[in-house]
Amino acid sequence: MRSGLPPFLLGFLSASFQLYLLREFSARFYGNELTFGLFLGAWLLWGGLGSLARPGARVPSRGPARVYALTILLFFAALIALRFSHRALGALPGEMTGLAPALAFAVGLAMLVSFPLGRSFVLNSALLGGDVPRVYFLESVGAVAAGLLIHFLLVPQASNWAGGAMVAAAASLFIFAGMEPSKKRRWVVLCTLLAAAAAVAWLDMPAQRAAWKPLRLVEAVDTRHAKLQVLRTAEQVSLLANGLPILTSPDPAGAEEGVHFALLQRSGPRRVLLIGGGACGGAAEVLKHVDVRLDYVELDPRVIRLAEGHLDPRELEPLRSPRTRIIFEDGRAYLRRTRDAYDAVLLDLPEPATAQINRFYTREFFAEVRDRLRPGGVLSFRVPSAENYIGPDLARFLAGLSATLRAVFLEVAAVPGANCVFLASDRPLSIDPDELAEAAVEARIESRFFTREMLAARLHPIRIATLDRSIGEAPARINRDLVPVSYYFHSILWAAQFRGLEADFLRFFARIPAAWVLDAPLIALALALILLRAFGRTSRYRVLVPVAGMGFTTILAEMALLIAFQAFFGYVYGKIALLLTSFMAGLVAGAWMGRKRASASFSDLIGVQGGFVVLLAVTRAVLVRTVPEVLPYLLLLAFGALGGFLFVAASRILRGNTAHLGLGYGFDLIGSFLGILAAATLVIPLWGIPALLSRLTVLNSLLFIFLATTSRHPSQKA
Amino acid sequence: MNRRRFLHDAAAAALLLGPGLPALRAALAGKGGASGRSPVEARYYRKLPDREIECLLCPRLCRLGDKERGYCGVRENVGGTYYTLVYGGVCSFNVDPIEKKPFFHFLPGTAALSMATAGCNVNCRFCQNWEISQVRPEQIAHIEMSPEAAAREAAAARCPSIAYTYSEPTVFIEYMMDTAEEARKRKIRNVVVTGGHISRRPLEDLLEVVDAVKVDLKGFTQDFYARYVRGELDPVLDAIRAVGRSRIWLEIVYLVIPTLNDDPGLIRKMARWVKNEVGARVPVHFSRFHPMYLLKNLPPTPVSTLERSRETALAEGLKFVYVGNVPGHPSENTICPGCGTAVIERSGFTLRGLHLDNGRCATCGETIDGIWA
Amino acid sequence: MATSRVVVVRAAGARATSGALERPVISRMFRRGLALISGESDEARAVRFFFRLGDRIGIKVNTIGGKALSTGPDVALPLVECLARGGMPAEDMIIWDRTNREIRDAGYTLSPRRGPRVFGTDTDGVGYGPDLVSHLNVGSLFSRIQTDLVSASVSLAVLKDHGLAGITAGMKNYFGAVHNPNKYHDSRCDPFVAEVFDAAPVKSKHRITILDALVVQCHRGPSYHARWAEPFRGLVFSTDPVAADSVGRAIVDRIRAAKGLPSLEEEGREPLYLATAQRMGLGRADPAGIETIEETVR
Repeated sequence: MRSGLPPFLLGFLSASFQLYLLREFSARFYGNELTFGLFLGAWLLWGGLGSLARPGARVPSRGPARVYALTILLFFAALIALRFSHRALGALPGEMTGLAPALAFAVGLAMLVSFPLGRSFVLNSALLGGDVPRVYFLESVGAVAAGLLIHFLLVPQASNWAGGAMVAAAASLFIFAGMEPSKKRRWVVLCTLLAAAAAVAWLDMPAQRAAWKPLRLVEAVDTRHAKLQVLRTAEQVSLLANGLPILTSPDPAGAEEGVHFALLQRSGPRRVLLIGGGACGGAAEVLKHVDVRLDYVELDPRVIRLAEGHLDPRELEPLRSPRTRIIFEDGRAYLRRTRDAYDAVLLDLPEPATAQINRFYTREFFAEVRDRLRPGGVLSFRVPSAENYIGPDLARFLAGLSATLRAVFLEVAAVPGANCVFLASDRPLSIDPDELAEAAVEARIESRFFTREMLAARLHPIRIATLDRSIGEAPARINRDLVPVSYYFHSILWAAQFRGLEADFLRFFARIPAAWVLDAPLIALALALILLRAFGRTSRYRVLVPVAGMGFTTILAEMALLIAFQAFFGYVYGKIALLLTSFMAGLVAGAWMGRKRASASFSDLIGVQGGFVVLLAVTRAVLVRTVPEVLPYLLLLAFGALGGFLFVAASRILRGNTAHLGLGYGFDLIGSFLGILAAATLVIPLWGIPALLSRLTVLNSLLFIFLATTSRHPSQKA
Repeated sequence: MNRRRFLHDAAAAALLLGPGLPALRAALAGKGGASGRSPVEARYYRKLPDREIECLLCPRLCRLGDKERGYCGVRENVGGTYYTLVYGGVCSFNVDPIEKKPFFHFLPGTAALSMATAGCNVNCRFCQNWEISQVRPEQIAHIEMSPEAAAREAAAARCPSIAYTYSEPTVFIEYMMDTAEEARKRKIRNVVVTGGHISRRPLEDLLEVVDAVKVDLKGFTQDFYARYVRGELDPVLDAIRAVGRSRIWLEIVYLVIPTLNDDPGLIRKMARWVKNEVGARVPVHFSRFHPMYLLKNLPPTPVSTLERSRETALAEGLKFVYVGNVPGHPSENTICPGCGTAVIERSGFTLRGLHLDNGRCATCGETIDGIWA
Repeated sequence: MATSRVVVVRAAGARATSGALERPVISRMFRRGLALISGESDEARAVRFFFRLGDRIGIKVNTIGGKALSTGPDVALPLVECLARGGMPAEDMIIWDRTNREIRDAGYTLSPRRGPRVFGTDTDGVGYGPDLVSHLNVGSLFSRIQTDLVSASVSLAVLKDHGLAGITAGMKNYFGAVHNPNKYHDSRCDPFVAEVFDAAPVKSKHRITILDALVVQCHRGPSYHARWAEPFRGLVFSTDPVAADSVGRAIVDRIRAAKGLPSLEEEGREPLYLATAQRMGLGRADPAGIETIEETVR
């Protein structure tokens, strides 16, 4: 192979496999962004361990073609394992599985694919005579190329499996070209790889059907935003996004409660905004109010297209009504952009189980809604509750939502029932059954649930008093964009089907003061650095500590930015390729700058360390409110650049101490993996992104001081 | 808070805090939990040697050593004497329309004071109330309410009936029977919502003091009962037969779960059995399943499946067959088997029309079976 | 599959004729048993074989049988001391069961704060976790002691005859960790004993089974009947939970035979859960796969 090709191909394969596995992984585990962290962390860990595995004494005579070919097959195996993971877990399709299986699969799949790729990094370095920075640079360029290709060309056109197969097939041709022409086996390799790729591309749908049995999957499509799947049971159609049901149709009268409690609060509503779920009958209910014009905001146009393909045409009429305007946009983006004012804003979304959905249940979002409500306008949404007995955890969940609403609105009401309907407004609200029934008659609403008797049954004073007492007595925390405590609730509600341990783990930490987890380690580090400064200042390896610290910082900052992006914009899944590509592009730029310098010195490290402090402080400062969308890309680019520069500088400074570099690198990787695990499961859900960034800033400041005060005694002779 | 809301709240407060509702007032003040009441000895068991006992309440016939509890978790052998741990320990308490139970041929349009204690003698994987049915009494909050107090509350809330429901009233039979007798003194009727796992003798005694029984027939194969209910089919059929042949009003609910118990052949067999054993005029409700408890993975029942089941049962000759859990469905109406007019028009819990004349169809005079006044 | 090792340690002096248990003798029995299982003669190393520093050890005792037929303080406290001598702080140990009442009745003094802590799941602020653990046929809430408060778990169980399950021993002891054990006595507790054990809160933390066979109720269990209570004066140890119970079953059968009773199998009560547990890969049930070491200490 030409010398530049293998490292480029390595980056290309690595990035595309990572992206496709991540997309499939996230779709499999309900689009929960915390799983992004788990997966990226595991990927990094195994890649690092792979590159630590010694390539053997002799320089390999052949290029890494064989490893690449093997990795392609392993990638396919990983896709298949993920698809049938329910079987492996002994769970039925559609049954919820928790964070522990997600972690297990993240670690397992990353091992399959990332480990051999990491190992080929070492092979490539050996082939290029140990010029690690050059390999690193070329690899990063390959990764950027893959990211752009996937984001702009493949994701809009092909399913994850098909896209993955295409990337693999293209890479196979390069591998073929790179193998020694004399070898006959290369034809066998090429044909095997192409056949496997073709099989994966063709078998995408059959495999999904098989995985969903005994339920009947009739259509599936990977859109930019989600994996959408359509299930059919007799005349009933269910649409799932990333495994979570977003629509069941026909759903007799199911949409009524989501609409009329809000619209009957004020007479003659005219403008209504519906976010999500309109195809499910919500729009039809809204249009029963004769003077209403409906704006229906839906992020993913494919949801409507799928609904059109499978729903009874009568169900779709409301969407075609001249009184309905469909807007394909993120709900929050629309709210911020629009100048319209509404009499009611209705959410018809799943419960806040992921950051993507949680952002519609935060104080910030409620404030955005309030700003677009006319005087007396009403916000309404519903979440699953229980009819006859409200246990302490459900009470805490509902109390959190209620408190978050109260932080923004003067009036909040909760309607008891199997679903709890929340209403919020700045003017008084009524859930008196007689008043509501009267209003329904006045507005001439034909409905099943909004009759005097049905309302009286649901809104019996005993039921209202029981719910109010449950909410009133439970401890409540306010849900915010960057402190998504609903993850905590989520660990309790969504985790009901987990095998138990991870939620208990979270609950345990929830009882510990934040300082023990967040501040105590920093103090310990400060003391350790003082000791190191006092006794180990002449050690050659003291530099490993800041290097490890910066690696750790990079991955945590990357994850914090991804989750913040999700909280602000809600479509990380759709933009993940581009986001990671910015980071990779940063790595390229950083590595390039690093290589341009004639020699690396300690002052480079100090500079990078200072850069981290500044960048973290800036990130912490700007991430207080919604930022322009470009900013997360720029920040990722900047973190990438610092990371890339650091890698090159560090590997030069420590050249000749490979064993110890390996050791430091290993510590860094394991530390980073544990860090990301802690951040994903504990720090972000319980204390939020700002708290995480503050601690990272302090951490890097400590390391900066350490570096600055030890560099006057350079022991480095290189 | 606006004025009307205030008045509404005040009215609720008056209802709740008035002198007639002491137990509920205590509940809303957050009391509950362990009580100081002395345990009540269970009925329906026999003593065996060595301080063992055999519970005769339900077909499980739990044989228990000292300090053991039955399958239901609410009855305990203490030193060879068997006690009920839920006598008067009410964990769920509401005023519901009688149609919600559902009873369609029993005082339509009225409210039933509905109550439950912890515990159940089966373990359905689709239980809607598992938080109360699948726990032991000490594990959830409850309020203390004597049978007399319960009857008083029903009167205060103007409920013409008390419904023993939500969990499984068989397991609190002592409390249910005593309450039923107290209620009768106040001319309040009693209805039981049960899975039908109850032995002959307790059932016969129960039928002496209550007015109507709704049995949840959860499937029609022993295999389904073994796998998804953890119970037996035959005793349930025996119980239905016993109620059907007594003077007590009977209705049957069949929860249709897609792919598990919705086979048309099975529905036909079930309908035939009902007709032969308890008569064609016993109302049968085919209810819609919603994903619940341990069966969250299944989709809800398609309405067409319910309609098909209803048609199958009608074709077998059953006279009063309903579609349940689909408010507003036309098959909520009661159709006169004589002339085909809708004698009771319902939409959910709303009674839209009642065309009965002394228990007879106002149009053709056909008798419509049920308890109407 | 390698064979599983089960150690039976017996001591004539463990139980005086008066029925009183001799703690020093029992302490020696623990020491010997742990040494034989771990293969480490040094006590500290033997203990470290099962536990890591920082482990919070839960000792699940079975106290449903009252003073006469429970793993009482005369057994549990020598174990605590033994583990403490091995370097595990007693402060971090919890001796626990379902209810404070049963624990008190078995002769313990409750100690909810000072270690070794002794308390039941029904202690205020403890209770059962809110999350339904759904695993195979099991749908249960688990005690927060098992899920939250301990990181390693010892099943210190009474070995006795059980009318339904055949025997109750180390695995069934964990029925005391779920909120609805009453639901799992169907079809001779099978497959529930195996599946409750297989659920993550138990399986991921269980380290060792120790059966209290000092007095074995060999018939008409699980409640106490003096006539069928045999002073076997033994403790059974194994890290294989199935093998431990399988040996326990053999002991019950041995005592039954000596008393002229038919075997459990002949009575149609053989513990079905053992075979189920072996099929699920939880351990070895067939005697051929079990290496039993029986020793007597003074």
